[in-house]
Amino acid sequence: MAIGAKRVPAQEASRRGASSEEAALGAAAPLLEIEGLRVSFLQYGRGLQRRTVQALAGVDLSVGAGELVALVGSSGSGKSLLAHAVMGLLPDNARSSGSIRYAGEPLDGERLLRLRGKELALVPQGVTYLDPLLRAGEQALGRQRGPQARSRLRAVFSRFGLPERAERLYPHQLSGGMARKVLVSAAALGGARLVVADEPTPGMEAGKAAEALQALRELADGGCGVLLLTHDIEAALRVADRVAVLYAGEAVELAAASDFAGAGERLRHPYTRALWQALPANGFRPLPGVQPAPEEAAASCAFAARCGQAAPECRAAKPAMRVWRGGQVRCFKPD
Amino acid sequence: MLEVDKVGIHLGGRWLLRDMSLTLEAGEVVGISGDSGVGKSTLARMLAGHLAPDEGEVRYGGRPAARRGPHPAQLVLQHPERAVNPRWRIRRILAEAGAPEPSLLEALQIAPSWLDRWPLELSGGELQRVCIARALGPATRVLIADEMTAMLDALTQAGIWRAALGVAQERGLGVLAISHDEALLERICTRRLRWEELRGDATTVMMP
Ligand code: SF4
Repeated sequence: MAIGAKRVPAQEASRRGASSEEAALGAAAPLLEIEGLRVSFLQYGRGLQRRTVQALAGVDLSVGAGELVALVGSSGSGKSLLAHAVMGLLPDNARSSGSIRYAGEPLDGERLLRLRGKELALVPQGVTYLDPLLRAGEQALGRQRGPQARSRLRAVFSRFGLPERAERLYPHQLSGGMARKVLVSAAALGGARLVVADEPTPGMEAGKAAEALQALRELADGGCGVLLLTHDIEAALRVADRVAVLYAGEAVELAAASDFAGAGERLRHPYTRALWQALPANGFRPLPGVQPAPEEAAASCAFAARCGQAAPECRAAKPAMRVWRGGQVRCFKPD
Repeated sequence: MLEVDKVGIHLGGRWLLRDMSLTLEAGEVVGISGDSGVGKSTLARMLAGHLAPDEGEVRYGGRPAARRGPHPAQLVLQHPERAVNPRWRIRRILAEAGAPEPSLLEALQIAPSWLDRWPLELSGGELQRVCIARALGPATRVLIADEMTAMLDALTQAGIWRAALGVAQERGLGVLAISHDEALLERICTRRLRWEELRGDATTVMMP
């Protein structure tokens, strides 16, 4: 909720050249396709206790070239794990299943190693990923050297609104927003076609957070596919073309950013609508209860306990993701 | 209720904040926004008695806080998991502020079954409710919420604020909400102040 400004009006989505329908279903030949992604990991409790924790329990989404897709989920919902799964950077105690394809081919092994850090870039959560001993310009250039690289650097920095002097600053001299832009610049200079951006640290001041997000939008407008992982739906809506909503480790809806308007009439899943209506700028309406752990809702709709429309079938089986009104929804009785 | 009179705090020869004034009446919900790093959290900690001012004075109901007993201003921060002892059960955490009133637990929707659990067994939103209950002991006059719901999803945020404001209203507490979220402050506050407006004479910031 970093952004106090109003949501993206519908004409902004169409400025990007997509009708609501196309926008919600995604491009015909996506750059990144994730299907049925599940990630679990072993957690060590007190003493020698070990248990398997299911973090992601079925995520389907796609990102096309020139498109910014936001995956919105609350803190601790496993969004970072998704970033790491795509990049092949899951920790050793994690297990994943499902399919991740890049430009039509499975993204794993040899191919992933070859593409990572080049066509595929991760913009991580915190500034701590910057090398404290390298100046911002050097960070952004990576291994590139020479006058040509320098002038490219200058062009990219100015495109993302970084002043020239920023090139010579060390990470500790950068504000949070500038550091994010340096990370985005590094992705652009490395020739990234797909960028996965983990959310900027919550609490970054609204203006700065918005600027850093704008840099990601610029990246997409330049032809890159961008997947933004965030807990801040208002921030996401300012820059995203499409939004995937995560609940209890599952993607429950895929909507166009322009579907988030009014009282949420165009939204498809009861949870998405409740989330929208809970925003301070909308109804500020709470909903009792909490998200279950994915394993608690393995054989039912994860939202059943809090859903006003729940029917017996919702507790007896898990709804699958399906195409609905130009988007996708995981619900037996979508609106 | 709360009068902050030209306070300042310095650290290592540098003023972290200086000449800050503010008045908060009973029943008011005052929102403070401003850039990060300007000292909002330092001010919050000082008002809750975690830091002593190096100049100026803070008065609660007309006089400085008593040295003994619970502080009249209680602070709730962004990360509840850092504000509780992970080795204590919820019951013991709550008891830090004296035995909580059942009606308070009910208002904050704290289920009796949580009391025997460990902090790790509650969600972030549930644990934050516990921290708020602990902050709302019988001696509390002012609740200071420093990015209290910044880490929570919108549904949980709305529930927590509605519950906390309900208790504050019923008891006539003053609430000081510090947040970067303009829409949130717009929603919950009876009065809003920008950080810059706190500087200078107390009377000039007492806007209608
Ligand atoms: S499947 Fe049933 S319980 Fe789940 S969201 Fe849809 S209507 Fe509600």
